[in-house]
Amino acid sequence: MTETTSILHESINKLFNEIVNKKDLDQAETGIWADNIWKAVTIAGYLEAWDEDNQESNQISLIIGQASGWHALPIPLVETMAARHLSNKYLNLCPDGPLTIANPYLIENSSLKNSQLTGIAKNIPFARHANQLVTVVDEKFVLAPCNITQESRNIAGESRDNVSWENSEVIVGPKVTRDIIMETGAIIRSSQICGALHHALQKSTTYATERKQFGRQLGKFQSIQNYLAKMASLTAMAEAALSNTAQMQSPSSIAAAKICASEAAGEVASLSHRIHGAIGFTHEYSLHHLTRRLLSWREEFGAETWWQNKLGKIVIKTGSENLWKMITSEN
Amino acid sequence: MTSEPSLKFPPASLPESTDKLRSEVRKFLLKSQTELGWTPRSNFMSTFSAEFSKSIGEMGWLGLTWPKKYGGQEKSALERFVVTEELLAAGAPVAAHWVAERQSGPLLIKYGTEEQREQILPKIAKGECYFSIGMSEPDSGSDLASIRTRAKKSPNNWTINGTKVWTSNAHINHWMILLARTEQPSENRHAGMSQFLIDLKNDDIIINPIPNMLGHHEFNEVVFNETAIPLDRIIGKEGNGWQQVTAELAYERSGPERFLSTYNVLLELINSAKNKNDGEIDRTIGKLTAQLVSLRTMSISIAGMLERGENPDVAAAVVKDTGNEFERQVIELTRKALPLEPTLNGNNIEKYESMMAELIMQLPSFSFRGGTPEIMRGIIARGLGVR
Repeated sequence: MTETTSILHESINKLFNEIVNKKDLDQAETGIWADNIWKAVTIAGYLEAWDEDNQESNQISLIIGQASGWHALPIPLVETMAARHLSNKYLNLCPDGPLTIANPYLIENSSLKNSQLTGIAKNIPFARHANQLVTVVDEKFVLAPCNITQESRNIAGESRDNVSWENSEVIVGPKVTRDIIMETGAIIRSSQICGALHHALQKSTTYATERKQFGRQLGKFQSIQNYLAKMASLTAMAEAALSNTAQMQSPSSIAAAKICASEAAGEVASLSHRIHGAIGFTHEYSLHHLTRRLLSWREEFGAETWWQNKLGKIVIKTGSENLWKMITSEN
Repeated sequence: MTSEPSLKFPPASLPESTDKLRSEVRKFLLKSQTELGWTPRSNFMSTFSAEFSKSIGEMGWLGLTWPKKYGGQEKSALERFVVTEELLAAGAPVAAHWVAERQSGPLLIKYGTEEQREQILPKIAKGECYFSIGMSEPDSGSDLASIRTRAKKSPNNWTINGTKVWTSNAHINHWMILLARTEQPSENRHAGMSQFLIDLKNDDIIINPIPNMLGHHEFNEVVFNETAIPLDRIIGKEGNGWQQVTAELAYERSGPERFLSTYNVLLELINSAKNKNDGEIDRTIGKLTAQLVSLRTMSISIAGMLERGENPDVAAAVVKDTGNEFERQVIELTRKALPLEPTLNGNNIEKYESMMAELIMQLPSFSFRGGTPEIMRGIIARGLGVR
């Protein structure tokens, strides 16, 4: 971390510590908009943090994403950052207020005629609270309204809504592939996963030093030490892969980041529950705010298998004789 | 230890200045392969070639980070990282100089006397001087602090009694760094140990082969029976052996050899996947590549820590443990994707079947070299603050 990024890391975590508490998280799951949190991040200027397309703002966006994952932030901060980032890049405009981003592989029966969009889009993060969404339809970048047809939630209780369009007026950008949405989505989810992994590890470590059974701290048992070491290694691996995306947002580095993040998410969620036992399964204890998010986010914008397939194809096309060149040119 | 252990991987990237060095190493290795006639093999411990080690010593690529007066180049740990990963990715025959350059030389630079450095370091940098690791004993494997080999001081020399085992290449190497007790075990298990230079060619010791499960002679038993060595063979301070050995092990655990030992198998899998369009093979390649890239990033981060003089022992344990598991996964997932019956065909090692046969049998040794997974996880847990 450079000095700027480590100051940001500190100040953002200080702010989130002050403004996010368990009550807010529980309330947000019932569909109540966390207005105080939204106002605080707006004032802090985080919504605009990823507007530019350069290495420094990529790095900043990862730090914000990790902090929002650590604190299980119940607002579409990373979605808004991502939508502004893409919208600025492809349309040269940054719309105000909450925005979101729709997985183009979850859009059905779509057609785009001139600037009129028809179709149904599923599981859009926080769509009910968002002014507009970005996605790709018929190989065109679009900025579209959020006409909600069904409200639902992922297993973390975060809103994931269906939207439908019937000759709706949208802003159409240049020709792009659906992958640009998947890649940006994968970056934000990977960064959130990394933050939540780290927090789950910290919670489990603390619990293992406080809880006693058989007259000993849990952390004195070798099998518990093994679990914690495994969690730490998976977390470190996911963070290392994530850090590579800041430098060069290549499809292969993004794929590697989401693969490592999604693989770690399932394992770390499971091990942290194992260490916590029954207390971790209670609503009152806050581990589940992290683990349910890990188990949701690992699937969103491509599960590890989806990206493994993608990366595998890139590597095969690159060829065994050029793989080493590819790996060493990306750091 | 100078600083509190903790688990951190500070982001590090290779400076652009390393690009030129990398392409020089690549060019040299291509030429070397035809001139010296070696076959790429990814298991770094299996290919001993004094000829090759001398040739890269001549290029100035051994002891890259060392002071110039000891034959080094005063370059950074990141530049050394680039050279080592290029050697390993090319499957070059690096076993002869590997241990000496990786850990014995740096140990002497940190703790050795001026005479020891002047006598030995330039030879390592030339690729002409090879080292063995004298840690394990018949009753001391993972529990290194329980060693019983004793060194007793008299006015004229140290007298050593005891036995070291699993000592790789003691029958070919020039020196061994011996860890021995110089005081009786006390309450503090880590106190009272010291390190010594043992001249494997001239000291009064017995070296007996211990064939490994492949039937190869790599391991040895090294027996000391009233072996007298000069007083100036002690490395560092008497009684400081445990601190020194821990620092040495961090070098041993964090390098790219901890995840590149099965790299050629991954390449084989990629070759086989062309035009097949088999989803399962594609995903396996994607999964393994992602992990490889991430391990490499962690290893670069550790090289950065070494460069800044930080203590990377917890992070090194993560790379060692995760890298081992990765190498095992490369073999396991590949054999499921590309069915084979591993066969032993002597020299015909480039063939997929024989390459897999050798690696499948070598695999158990990858986990204990440099410390078992259980020891690594204990170190990581301690770094987290439990234990």
